[in-house]
Amino acid sequence: MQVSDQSGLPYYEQLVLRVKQQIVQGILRPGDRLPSVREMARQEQLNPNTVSKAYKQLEAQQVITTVHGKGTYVRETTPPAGDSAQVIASKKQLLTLLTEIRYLGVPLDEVVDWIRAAYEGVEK
Amino acid sequence: MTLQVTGLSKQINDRQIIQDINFEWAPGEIIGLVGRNGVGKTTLFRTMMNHYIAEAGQVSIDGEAIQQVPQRQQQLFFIDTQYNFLSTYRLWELPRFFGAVYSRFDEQRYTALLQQFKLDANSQYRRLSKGMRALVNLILALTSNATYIILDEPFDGLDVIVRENIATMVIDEVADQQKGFLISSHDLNELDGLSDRVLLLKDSRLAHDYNLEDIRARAKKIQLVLNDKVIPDVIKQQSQLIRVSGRVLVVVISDYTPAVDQKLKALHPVLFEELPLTLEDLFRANLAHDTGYQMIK
Repeated sequence: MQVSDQSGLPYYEQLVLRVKQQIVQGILRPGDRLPSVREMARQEQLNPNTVSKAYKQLEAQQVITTVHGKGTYVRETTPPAGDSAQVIASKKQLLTLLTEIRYLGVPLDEVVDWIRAAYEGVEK
Repeated sequence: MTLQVTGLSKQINDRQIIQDINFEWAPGEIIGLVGRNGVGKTTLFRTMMNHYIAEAGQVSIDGEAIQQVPQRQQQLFFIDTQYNFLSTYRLWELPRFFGAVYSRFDEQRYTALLQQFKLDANSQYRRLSKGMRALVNLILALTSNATYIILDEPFDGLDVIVRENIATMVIDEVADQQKGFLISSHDLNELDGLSDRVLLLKDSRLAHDYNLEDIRARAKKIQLVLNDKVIPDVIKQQSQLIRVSGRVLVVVISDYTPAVDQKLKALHPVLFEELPLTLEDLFRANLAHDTGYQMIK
C-alpha cells in the first residue's frame, strides 16, 4: 500500500487528504477525471471499500462529483463560506495545535513561515 | 447474500484445534485471518470446506448449510496447499476436475488467464515454481466463479511482482461486490490496506473481529520517553506496550480519547511522537506475551 505516509490516519482519510493536496498543488484541476474506485484500488493496492469510502467523503465535502455512468470529476472550487461547519472545525483543530506549538516554544515567525509554505503548497 | 459460520468446532487426536467459531462473510469483503503459527487457520478452512467433519457447528450460505445441501459447496472455494490432487496433472487437465464441482467454471477465462501470465498449459502442476503455483491456485479460484474464496497464505514466499499481481486480481474481483475473499497470512503487512476486516484466531477461538479503518480512526501508536523509569498508571491501563528500548516506550492505545491525551501530556514526556499504526502492531499488542512491563523494572 503506497498511500501510507508517516501518519496513523485511516487509509480512506489519507486518500481524502491526498486528493485535496493534489488539488491545492494544481496536480488535479477542476474538471479532471479521477480514476474509478476499482482503478484507484488497483493503483494503491487498497481495498475497494476503502477507496469508495474516501470518494463518498470527498463527494459529501463537494470536492468531487460523480456523473452516473461517466465517472468522477474534480469540482469547480467555490470559495468556502468562512462559517461553514468544516471551516469552523478545521479552525478549532488549528488552534489546539497552535497552543501545543506555543507551549513547545516555537517562535511565531517560524510558525507563520510553516503556515505560509504549507498554504502556498511549496512544502509537501 | 451471506455466508455464515456458526459454532464451528473441530478436535483432532483429542486436541481442540478450533472451538466455537462464529462469523459472517459477505461478498465485497476481503477478510483477513491472522493468528500465530499452528493456531488452526488451515484447520478452520478445512472444516469450513467439509474436508474435516466438524464436531459441532455449520457453515451456511444464504441460510442453507453446505453439509446438508451439497450444491451450496460450489459457492465456496479453497485449495488445500498441503494436501491436493493436482501435482501430477497438467494445467489444461484441471478444468475437468473443477468443472465437475463448480458448474459455473469458466474454462475460457481459465485458458486466457494462463496465457496472460505466460503459464504453459502443458506444464505439470508439480513442476511449477512456487510463484506460478500461487497464480494457478488463484486463477482456479477466480474461474470457479465461486462467491466465497478462501486463500491460504497466498503471498507466502512470493516475489514482489507476483504478490502485486495476486493482490490486484483480488481487488479487481471484489470491486463489483460479487465475490468475497477470506485470506490467511502471517505476513501482516500483506493484508494491510487490502483487507478492511481482520479476524484474529487465538487459543483456538476467534478472539477479535476488527474493522481496521475504525481502529485506525480510534487507536494511536505513540513513541514516548518519560522523565522517570516508573511506568505511570495511565499507560499500564490504557495502552499496550509494543517495544521498550532504553527509555523509549512504544505503545499502542486502542482508544485514544481526549482524556487519555490530557493524561499523557500531563506526564510531560521528553519525547512524544505519533507513529503510523500497522496491522502488525495490533497483532503484537494482542498476541505477544505481556513481558514488556517486567523488562523495564
